[in-house]
Amino acid sequence: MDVVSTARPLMSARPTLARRLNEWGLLLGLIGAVIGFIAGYALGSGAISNFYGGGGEPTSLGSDPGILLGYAMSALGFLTGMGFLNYPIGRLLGAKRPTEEDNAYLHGEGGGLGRYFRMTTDHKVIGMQYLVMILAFLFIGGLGAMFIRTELLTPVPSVANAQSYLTLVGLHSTLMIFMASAAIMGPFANYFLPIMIGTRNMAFPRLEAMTFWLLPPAGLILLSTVFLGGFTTGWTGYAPLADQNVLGMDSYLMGFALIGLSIGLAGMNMIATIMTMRAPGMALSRMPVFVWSVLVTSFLGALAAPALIAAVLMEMFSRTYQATFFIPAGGGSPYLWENLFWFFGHPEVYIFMVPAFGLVMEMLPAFARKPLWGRRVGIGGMVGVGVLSFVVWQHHLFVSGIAPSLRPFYMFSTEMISVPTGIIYLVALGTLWRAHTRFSTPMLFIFAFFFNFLIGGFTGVFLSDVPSDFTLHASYFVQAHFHYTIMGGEVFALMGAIVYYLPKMTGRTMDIRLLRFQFWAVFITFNGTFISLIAVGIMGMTRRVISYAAYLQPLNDSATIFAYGLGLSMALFLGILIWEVVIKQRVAAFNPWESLGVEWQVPTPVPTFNFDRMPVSWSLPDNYDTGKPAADFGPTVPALSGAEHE
Amino acid sequence: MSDASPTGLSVIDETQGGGHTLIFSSRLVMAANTTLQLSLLFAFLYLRANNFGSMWHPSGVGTPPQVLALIALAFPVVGVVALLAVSNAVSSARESSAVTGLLWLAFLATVLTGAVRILLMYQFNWTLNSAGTYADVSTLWYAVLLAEFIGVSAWLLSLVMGHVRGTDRLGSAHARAILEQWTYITGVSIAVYLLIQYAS
Repeated sequence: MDVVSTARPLMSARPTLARRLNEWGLLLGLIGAVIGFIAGYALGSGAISNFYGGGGEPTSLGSDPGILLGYAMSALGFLTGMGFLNYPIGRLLGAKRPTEEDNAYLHGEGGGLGRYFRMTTDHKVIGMQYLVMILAFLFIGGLGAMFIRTELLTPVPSVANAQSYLTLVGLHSTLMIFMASAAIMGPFANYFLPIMIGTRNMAFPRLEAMTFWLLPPAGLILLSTVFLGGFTTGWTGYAPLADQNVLGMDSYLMGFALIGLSIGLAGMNMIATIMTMRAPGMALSRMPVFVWSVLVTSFLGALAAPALIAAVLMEMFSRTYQATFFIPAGGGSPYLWENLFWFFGHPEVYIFMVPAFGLVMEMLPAFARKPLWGRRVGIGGMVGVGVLSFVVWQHHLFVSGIAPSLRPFYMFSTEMISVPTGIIYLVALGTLWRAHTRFSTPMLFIFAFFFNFLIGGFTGVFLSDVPSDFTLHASYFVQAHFHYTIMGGEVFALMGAIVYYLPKMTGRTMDIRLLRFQFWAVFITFNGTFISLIAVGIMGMTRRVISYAAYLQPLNDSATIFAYGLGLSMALFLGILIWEVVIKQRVAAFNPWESLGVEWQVPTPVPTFNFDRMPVSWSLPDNYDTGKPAADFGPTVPALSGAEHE
Repeated sequence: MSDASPTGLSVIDETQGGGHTLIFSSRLVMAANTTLQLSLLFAFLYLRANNFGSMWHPSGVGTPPQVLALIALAFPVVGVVALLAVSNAVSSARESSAVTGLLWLAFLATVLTGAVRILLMYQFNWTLNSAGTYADVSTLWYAVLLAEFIGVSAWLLSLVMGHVRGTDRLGSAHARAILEQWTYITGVSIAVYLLIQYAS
């Protein structure tokens, strides 16, 4: 075999014009967004809206075609300013392909902090960009939750009116859904997937960067709804209410379209990377369980997101050209939206959860000091969840009028999901059986994940049953169930993974005593909040309604007080993170959890191109029985050197 | 540092995508596109079957102009043939000038495809707020297909320019991937044409 040099060229001292512009990418992107919005607004308000008798009724704030095209072109202008069109336009003109040096620059080689604020193709930088952005938007969404709970301290409107309350609920839920869809895939799959499978980068690094940079415009466009009158549909955007909403609905539609695009493209990129770029010896059977979860999730994203995009396009057509897809008087049907939305929406829930399953199964062996028990069965469980998630969506329509003959099938298919999910629990239990478990902080979050998700799963069974769903539908019971699965599941896994992977991602760690206090605070307040809400739901309190019966006030006040504690404990987590990593810069041990995973065998900080030479996978990544590392890196860092653990 | 390796392997090829990754990814795009097309098909069949308020296809609302709709299918088919010839020429390592000629022919077919389809959509001659959901679905579906044709045309233009300017000779993987994409969209267009024209 010929020698292949993997050494990378050093950067030349003199940057080109393109690179100088790239350094100002974020600023240019913002300028591009403003110019794009103005141009799109003018175009949309004028010529474009005249086709097919469209245009709608313009308001003092503008018209739907103007706002929607303005949003679309602002997103395009942002990406153009960031430099994402340089490569495709160059290719259209037949320009030479970028040199190795150009690619190395774009990868962030030699770049400092600035590479986090421009288009960078290094998957590790993109992972960190995701992490920061998600935490920022989670903070904003969390503030929304605090406002909602404050309003619900009294049974009658006190702080907001019904319209602004509904907008607040819709903004909180939509923003959280946006962020939850990328909460684990964004930071951890982007950062660790190439390292775990032994490659230098994703299959399409520019595309990977673009999937991240689509999210800030999506989030900001969504937040801009407050200037356009908001929207009253909640995160599900049901028609025909969506057709009747003011211009703020356009923010929801464009935000969701951009998110759907990001999810779909990211999924395809990850599938291509996993299926075609694994290191020698990295058979599918040897892939880390987290990579398997990313693969399943990516298929869900790539195949489900187009249904959302189709639905959103129909609604955009309805709002701009007065199409009647969802209006019965014009031949349409609201059920069409419900079907398309939930065909995406239910797999979307597993886009949140499957990577969380993968992460906890990835971390568990490091603390149990045992290989993952029933590894293949656990992987099968995740695949089973993924497949079944495509055939359950109509349980969201039980109450709204699904044909009665279809109910038993969807009730059965929904209940079936508890089987593969239960298998994942069995795998976790089998791994912990007779293990010398280390109760480190990430392990506490893993336990909490399983505890919370179990309650989420139990409450879900009642909602999959047609009779009980009729009673509980649209109540706070549904809201609490959803928060138990997504916040109690995914967000707890996210916090555990941040504590677990921070030493590898930043070389820094957090104060263990403070973290343990924070863990118990967040665990108790989370359960206090949502057990109260399960109770008010059973007692008949309807969600998304600003007022409620007076007898429900004690439980609501209890939920609000716990929610304040929950908000403070989440803020404490962020505070510890910023204090320890950014300000105090507490240095972490090389491999504090003594993990045998591939990602822990590479140096910290991880080299720009990950490996001196390509690794060869030679065993499973959790060989704790023998202590043998999963891959041969040639001249590598010994697996356990410098290890310290709590 | 020593090059000693526990597996005895000291020299390893770099893993990289190349043609295999390109073709695999292109097929993934087709899979995702299939979900999008099936969503539109579902909308078409669902609204047609229910005919809410007898507003699926009210009387007086016509179908897209037949001749123009057929011409809008003819050019993509020419594109398929030209791209097939390109793919064969590249895989049999024919002369570069022959490949260039075929590439230009294929590109011309894609440009004409886009132009005729824009003209076709301009000729629909209905207003969406009163023409029923048949007109809604047809317009949206044709718009989606137009966007896809334009996207693949842009991809083809980048290949043509790279090949013509000698900056990036066309490889067999690229030729095959774009042939598959164009054929897929052409196939979908034919199915959509039949559905909209004859199952209204």
